[in-house]
Amino acid sequence: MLADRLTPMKKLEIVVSGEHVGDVRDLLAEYVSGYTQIAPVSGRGHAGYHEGRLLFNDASAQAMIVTVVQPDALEPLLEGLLPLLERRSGVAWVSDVSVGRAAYFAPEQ
Amino acid sequence: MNRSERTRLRATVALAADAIAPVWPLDTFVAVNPLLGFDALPFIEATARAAELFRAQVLPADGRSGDDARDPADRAREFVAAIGVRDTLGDWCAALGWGDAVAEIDERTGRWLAAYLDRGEAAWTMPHRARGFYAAWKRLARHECAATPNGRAYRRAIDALPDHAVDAVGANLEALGIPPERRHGYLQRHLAQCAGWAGFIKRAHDAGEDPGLDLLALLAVRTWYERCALTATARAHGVEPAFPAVRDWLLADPARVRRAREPHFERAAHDAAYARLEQREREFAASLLAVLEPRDDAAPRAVAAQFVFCIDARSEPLRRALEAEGPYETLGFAGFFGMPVRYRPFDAPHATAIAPVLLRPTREVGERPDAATARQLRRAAARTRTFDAIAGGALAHPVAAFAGVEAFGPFAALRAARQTFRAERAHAMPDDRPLQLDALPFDERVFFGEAALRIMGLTHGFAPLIVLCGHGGSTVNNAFSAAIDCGACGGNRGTINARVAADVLNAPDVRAALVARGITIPPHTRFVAAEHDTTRDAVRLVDCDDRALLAALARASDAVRAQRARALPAAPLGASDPPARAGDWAQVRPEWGLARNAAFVIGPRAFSRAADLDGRCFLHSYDAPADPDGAILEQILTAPLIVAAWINLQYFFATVDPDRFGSGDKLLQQPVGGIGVVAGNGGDLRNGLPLQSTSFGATPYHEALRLLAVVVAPRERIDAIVARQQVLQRLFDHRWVSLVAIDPGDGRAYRYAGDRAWHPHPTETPECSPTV
Repeated sequence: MLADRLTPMKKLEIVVSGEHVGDVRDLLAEYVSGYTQIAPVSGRGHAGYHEGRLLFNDASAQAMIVTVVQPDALEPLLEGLLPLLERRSGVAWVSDVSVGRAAYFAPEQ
Repeated sequence: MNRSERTRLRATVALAADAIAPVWPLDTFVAVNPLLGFDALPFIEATARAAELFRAQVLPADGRSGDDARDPADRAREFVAAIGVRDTLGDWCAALGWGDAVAEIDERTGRWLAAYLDRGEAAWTMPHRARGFYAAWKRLARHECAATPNGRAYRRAIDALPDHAVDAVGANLEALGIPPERRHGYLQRHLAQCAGWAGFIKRAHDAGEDPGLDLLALLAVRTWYERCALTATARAHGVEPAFPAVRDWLLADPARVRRAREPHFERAAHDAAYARLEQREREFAASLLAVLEPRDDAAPRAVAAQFVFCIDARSEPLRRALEAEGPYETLGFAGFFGMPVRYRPFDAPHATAIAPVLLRPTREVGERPDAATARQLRRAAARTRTFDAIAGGALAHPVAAFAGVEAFGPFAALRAARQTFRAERAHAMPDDRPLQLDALPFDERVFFGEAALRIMGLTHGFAPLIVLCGHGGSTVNNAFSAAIDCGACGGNRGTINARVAADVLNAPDVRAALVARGITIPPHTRFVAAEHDTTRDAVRLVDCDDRALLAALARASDAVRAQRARALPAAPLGASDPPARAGDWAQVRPEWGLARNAAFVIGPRAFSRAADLDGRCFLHSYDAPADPDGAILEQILTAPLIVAAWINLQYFFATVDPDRFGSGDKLLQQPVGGIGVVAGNGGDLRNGLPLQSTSFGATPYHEALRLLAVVVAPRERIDAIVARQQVLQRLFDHRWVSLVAIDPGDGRAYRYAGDRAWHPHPTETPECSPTV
């Protein structure tokens, strides 16, 4: 089966304010080789609706970072990520995914 | 440290840095709220916290006191509780009479940072710089004590430090005995001790300017020097240099606390100072609202020209004077005219962002001179490079410097004499060479052109001539020259943005596309750019020689100049009138800039046209009926208002504590690497407004009031916008900015009380009405 050639990984989807994207990227640096960043993003959370469409303000717009990590990297990564999300506005999802060409997702040494 | 511990420490540092406001280099001086990191708290709480963290005055007259008459045991217990909350062990040293460890840490760390961040000014660059700050420091600092008896031991200790900054911070905190639960507060206080350097490094790292320097590297070096300072002093008192041992030693005899924490903060006095501030703000609001009322012209008249000025408070007197000169209308809009671009002068190696600091523009515009001009420019640049290489090389070389001084000294002396006795031309007028806009795609030109016109409320009733007036200040020999340029252009002159906007809006293809979007610009309407020199009170038109208009501008400028000159203190030994101040190389106060700013009026000009606002108000045009869904107002509140609030808060805090939140007295400043200044020989990077921008001697010229935003729009519309913008909830609900809405229907004013609640604003004017 072709599916046997896939490697199980953990996918993280993280939404934070634009001004805090750099901190998330710094945390991820030790664990991932790349990520996808989508900005601005809008949506409703526990604090109400958040409008992402700002013409002349990139800093206040929210951004989403999507990446995958090795399963054993999840726990140490959460050691840093969860305190950030507890003290600031933002959310994160973790889900099980499978990827092809797993070597492409290994962190740079 | 394992991966988990490293990641946790990275997060701890990131969170600790939330209290530190970003700092930009001097050449793009950007106004920012020094307490930006506290904006999630109500203003009164944020200032109380900041007063303790930064040891600063935070209100015009606040709760600080040098007197602390408490029992020594109480003081000791407070010290112990404050470790990792408000104090570091370095702070303790001063309190215990063990010397000023914090100053020593600042001085030693600042010296290395100045060397690393040098922007090509030093003759010798820092060795190993390419390896990053921490690695370079580790390789060089091992030789710091080479000439002392402890040199070898010191070298071994540095060599034993981990190779990565994050591990070094962990090792140093471990050695200092700081438990994990106290590390957040401990590191936050460390960053607050050097808020200038920390803010600069935080911003530069986030912007990707230098991957070799981050806050972990800064903290690795600082905590190392803290270890050194504590070791030297604690052992002399027979105490192990770590938190648990010093704590126990202190508790064993509380009388060992020699000095109270300074300043001693009293919450009750803080609250009383805050109440006085609110009272003064209410008085100001009443006086402003008393003069804001719609005044329609008695008879419609043909408008000869419309001027779009920056929202900057310095535009207001000129707008008023120009409107009195003839059939001219004025509008207010952010001085980058909706063109967020980067600008690269001809053949320049780098482009500069000329847009609000909230944006990161990617499109670049340049210059397109004709062939002959291009050759001339290249020859001139080559001559300058050659001269710099010869003169700079001769003066920097250890041996040739002696001959260099002999050779160049007489010329330098002549130049100095000329500058002393004859004011320089402060700002060489640009040649206004044609701009190269090819990198700005057509659809973006249409998009930004439409957005600019809609937000400034100019979608119909176009005059034959529309002048987009950028602005900048003129000054010489002034490290803070960017502070008097346009804040909406990231601390640059706004002329290029005005020219880009004029080029875009004059283009036939753009106008054709705008027709399809509902904006028809008449064929006879022409946009031209202009520049308002705020230091000399002069307006220069680019590519326009309308004599009547030029004469009206000259008369209006004369009127403003005469009014403004009265507010500037005389210069006994130098030039006093505004144009001469601009060229005086000894002038520490070329103009007052935005001092005394206090309000932001968002609404039709009809509401403010009849009032003399004394240059204290930012003015943004807004026509509520043309914006039924609030989309335009949302853009105004989330960008220009935020920039104005940052400017206001920068002036506020630099006025109440010029040394902590400003950069102090200009006469004592020393520029560092082109990025900032230090006081005297070293220490923290100081990048706030200098004392001369806010005060005259010990007397404040700026009045520290929080910005009052007056919005002529329905309250429901403002509520809807605030409900979906967290940044506005923080500004208004937490009282960093006061908000008043004027109902466009009946003209009544309502004060925002937080949580989408409004109260009718009192209509009576105070008896002692302050000047607006």
